[in-house]
Amino acid sequence: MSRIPAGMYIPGKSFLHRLDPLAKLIGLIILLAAVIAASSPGGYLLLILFIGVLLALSGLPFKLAIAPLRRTYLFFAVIFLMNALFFADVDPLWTWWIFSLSRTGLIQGANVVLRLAIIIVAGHILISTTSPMEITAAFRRLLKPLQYINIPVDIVALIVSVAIHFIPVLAEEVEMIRKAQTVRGARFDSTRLRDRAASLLPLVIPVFVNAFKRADELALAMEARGYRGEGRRVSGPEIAFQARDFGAVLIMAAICAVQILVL
Amino acid sequence: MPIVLEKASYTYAPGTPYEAAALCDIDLQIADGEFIGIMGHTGSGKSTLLQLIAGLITPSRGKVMIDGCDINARNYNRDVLRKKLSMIFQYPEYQLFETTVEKELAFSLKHSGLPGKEVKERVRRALEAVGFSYTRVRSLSPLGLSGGEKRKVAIACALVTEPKILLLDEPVAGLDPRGRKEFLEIITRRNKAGTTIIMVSHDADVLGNYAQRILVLNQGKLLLDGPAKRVFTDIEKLEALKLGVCRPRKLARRLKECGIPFPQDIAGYDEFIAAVVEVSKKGGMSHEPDTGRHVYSR
Amino acid sequence: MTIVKRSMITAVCVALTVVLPMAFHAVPNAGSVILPMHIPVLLCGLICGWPFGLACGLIGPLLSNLFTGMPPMAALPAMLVELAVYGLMAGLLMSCVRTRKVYADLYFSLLVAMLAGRIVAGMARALIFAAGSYSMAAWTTSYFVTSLPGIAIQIVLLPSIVFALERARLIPARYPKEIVLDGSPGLDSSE
Ligand SMILES: Nc1ncnc2c1ncn2[C@@H]1O[C@H](COP(=O)(O)OP(=O)(O)OP(=O)(O)O)[C@@H](O)[C@H]1O
Ligand SMILES: [Mg+2]
Repeated sequence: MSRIPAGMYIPGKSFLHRLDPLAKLIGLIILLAAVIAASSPGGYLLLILFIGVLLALSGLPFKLAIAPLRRTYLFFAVIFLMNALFFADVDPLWTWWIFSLSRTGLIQGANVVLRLAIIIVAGHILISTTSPMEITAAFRRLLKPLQYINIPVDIVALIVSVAIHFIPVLAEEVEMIRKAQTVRGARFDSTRLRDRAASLLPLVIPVFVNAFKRADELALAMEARGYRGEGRRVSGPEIAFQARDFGAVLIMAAICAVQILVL
Repeated sequence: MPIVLEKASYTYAPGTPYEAAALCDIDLQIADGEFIGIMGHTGSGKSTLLQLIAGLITPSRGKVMIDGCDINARNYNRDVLRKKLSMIFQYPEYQLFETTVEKELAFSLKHSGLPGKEVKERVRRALEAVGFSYTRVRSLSPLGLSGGEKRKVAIACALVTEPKILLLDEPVAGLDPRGRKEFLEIITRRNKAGTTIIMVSHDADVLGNYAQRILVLNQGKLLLDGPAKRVFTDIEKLEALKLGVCRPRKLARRLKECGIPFPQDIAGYDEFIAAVVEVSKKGGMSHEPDTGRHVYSR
Repeated sequence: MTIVKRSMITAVCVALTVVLPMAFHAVPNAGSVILPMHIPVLLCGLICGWPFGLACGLIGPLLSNLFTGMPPMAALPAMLVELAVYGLMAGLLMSCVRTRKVYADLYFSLLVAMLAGRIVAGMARALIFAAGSYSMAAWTTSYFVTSLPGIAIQIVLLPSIVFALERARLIPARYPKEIVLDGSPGLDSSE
């Protein structure tokens, strides 16, 4: 019954699905740089076109790909208004109390919203075409060089893989404890905030006590087998980049370069 | 009828790829004071059935009625249900959280509206029912106790509300033989005092010896339902389903195979002994003595 | 505590940053009032020290976004900054502040860590979302007022969890008492 939640991942066989997760991750980071560098309408147009191409390559339905935008439109509205109304400019179009609507403010707001929207859609494409496990593995490969500046990447990798292993186990346990305390009279689904706050302790304390017990047992078992948590370099299946992975990263880099140098 | 299920079904995660039909059209009636055992393979829906009765999940179809009220009706007051029904989960000690044993038990009575003195009295009674001395344990931290002691405190938490219905989901798992026996004695005493007991167990021996009526679940359906003796009579069917059979019943079959006219409606050891006495009085045990070796050779 | 044990505790805390919000998902508004994701991060910092608290604050929200889609991508960067500062500051303060009173240490470290996290996250938001110079005051006030109940809940909750863990002997006591040896009697009622 132990299932790991799949997040937003939608299994498929498209070009983007088959691309090396590390290439996708590096691509996303380059894209981030390009987005931050973008400032002109031409630059944004290029990026939006590129996102469109990615979408086509991912084989995801359009509706699904822009779903995160539809869910967060309120957030965008707030950011836009914040920028538009609070930007202190010399000649505002309209002022009232502490608000002042200005041209620069409007442009600034549009800028911020566009950037965020592009980043969100790009990130969404990545996590829809890559399973959570693949992404964490790609992160591990990406961070590998950090061990040369004394960041214990091996311990971080250990923490991440053990944490993933514990997600379904603890989810089931939380559910069980919630049910046990409900029978004993805790009111988790009460509409009164007081009841809900009062039912926090009976849920959270047992959850932590049991989770720490598991951590304790696992640590003992690992130490008994001689693991000390140092000196072990990250190892794992070396997946070599293929031509298409290099190609993908190069194209991303080219777009970023055009963005910074030309537009 | 105090507990009635009408065509109750339950599906986990409907409409997702993980959809799992756990229970299908369960019809069930349970009278006050019964001691019911539920058996079935893992994944057959035993825990789901208990949770339906406890009102922890709402049936996808059908109804769950307790004392004539649909417990999932909009206007049903859940506090009423919480007062008359308790449940002990597989590892009940996982639910402990308070700073003292006394507070831990009193938590279960928080919404009961009982006066403080009555609460104290009930806590004392529940602790003594599981074999603790009230004055010694009341101010200890439940989290600092040993595993077996924690289990007892958790059981006391379920008993402290003095429920009319007690649901048990594999309560003896992980207990040593002595703890197991103590626990089952506590439960039997409750049952004698009028509490309805519904107990899920993988151990056919436990069910055969303690339950009066047995339900067998298979793939979400109620396959068998009847007095323990009768359910175990059909030993071939149970074995075909790879379900355990209690030892007294197996012994009775071997005796019969040896040619002794031994009754086959046996579930517990007490019944077995009574039958032995009965049969030997009639002199049935003494004929054909040489086949006795088959009893041991299987 | 050994590094291995700290790592394993950090791992379960990371798992809980994913799992706890799932548990509160059914309750409307729980995310913004109870702030379930903050609890394991603060706890990890308090118990395992700043490097582990920092790691938990960074890995937790990332994994949670990956596995459950919460917090949404748009809120992720600010959340990362906020939680990383919580874990880091909780750990740093616990190792610096030693008043010989566990309560005092815990409350002080928690309060300062929570304030620091909110201030830094507020600044990060202001920098990311508005490079201009709009009124920062308006932003920060709203940032604090809405989360006030959450702060209050956590001030009660976290020390209770720490003490429960100490009582269950899962973490060493911060200021160990002198051990008193006495023939403590059994718990059974039967003499
Ligand atoms: N939370 C859940 N989500 C999805 N499916 C579930 C969940 N819980 C149980 N199931 C499924 O429902 C079915 C019945 O489960 P249930 O827990 O009632 O079985 P059980 O008879 O109690 O088994 P066991 O003897 O192992 O405790 C199983 O097929 C199981 O996979
Ligand atoms: Mg079960």
